Amino acid sequence: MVNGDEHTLPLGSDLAALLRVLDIPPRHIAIELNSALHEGGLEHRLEPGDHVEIVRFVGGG
Amino acid sequence: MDSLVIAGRTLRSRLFVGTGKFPNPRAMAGAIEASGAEVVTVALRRVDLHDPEDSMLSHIDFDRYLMLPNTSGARDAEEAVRIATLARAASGWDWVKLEVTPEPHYLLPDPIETLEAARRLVKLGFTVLPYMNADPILARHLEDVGCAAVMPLGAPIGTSRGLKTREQLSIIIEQANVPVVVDAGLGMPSHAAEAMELGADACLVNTALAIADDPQEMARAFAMGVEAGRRAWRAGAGGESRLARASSPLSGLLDQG
Repeated sequence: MVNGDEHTLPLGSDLAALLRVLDIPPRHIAIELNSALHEGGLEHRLEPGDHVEIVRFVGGG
Repeated sequence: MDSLVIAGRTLRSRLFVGTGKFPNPRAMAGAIEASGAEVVTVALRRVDLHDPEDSMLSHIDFDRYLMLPNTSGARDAEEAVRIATLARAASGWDWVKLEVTPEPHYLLPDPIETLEAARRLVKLGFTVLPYMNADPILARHLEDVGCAAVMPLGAPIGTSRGLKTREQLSIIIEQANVPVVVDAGLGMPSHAAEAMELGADACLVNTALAIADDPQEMARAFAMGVEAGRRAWRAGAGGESRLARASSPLSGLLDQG
């Protein structure tokens, strides 16, 4: 699950591959993996059933 | 203008600006430039998977400004800490505009959850600037837990109604030992000038710029309003009087024998 939507990736894909597939530039984003801040690198391998939240900055006051 | 120091950081501009609700990135970038602001707020949201590039902020050079992510959308302390932590992870910036607004109609800040979140964020090493109602006692509590400034509202967010909290604001300004940034509700440069005349240290404006026909010109006007108010406050006003005080000499009048 990514930001509430289901996505299917080849087995063994890492976070970098997920960002590429979703066309998300890896600058100024943060990732939560299964409700915890992911502090490691983008080479972290995803497991089936992982919940991923990807956030970034938007305009705000 | 004299400079402002928050958490050891010296700022030449006393106008902070937000980046929400602008009609397009060009209007936003023009307004920020014209405002002369050094502190710029942003929000944190889920990446929209249908529009992953998000053009809105692409016109801002993050390195040129002191970026101040907010915790908008947080309904309690826990959510605020989560958002602030994600914002820091996404950017490395450790300043945060703490915003806990559980009530959808007036977006008024929850004082209890804000104080709790402030306490936790300060412990986590953030420089915390809390959005708060104009309550002098709450301002004191927020200062005591280590907030770098307080950001009381003039009126609810986006209402452009001016300093509805004027009396309370002046007590906060009188008693605060940290900078007071009047945030929310400022609709016209005169509102910003009024806040600065009261002795506020800075103002934050977003909606008034974003919804103006010409955001850039409005930003320039706000910068002038803030500067005028600040200069007036430094100049020291001579006070009001109920009775007239003649400004021309009362002697030597022509009809005096």
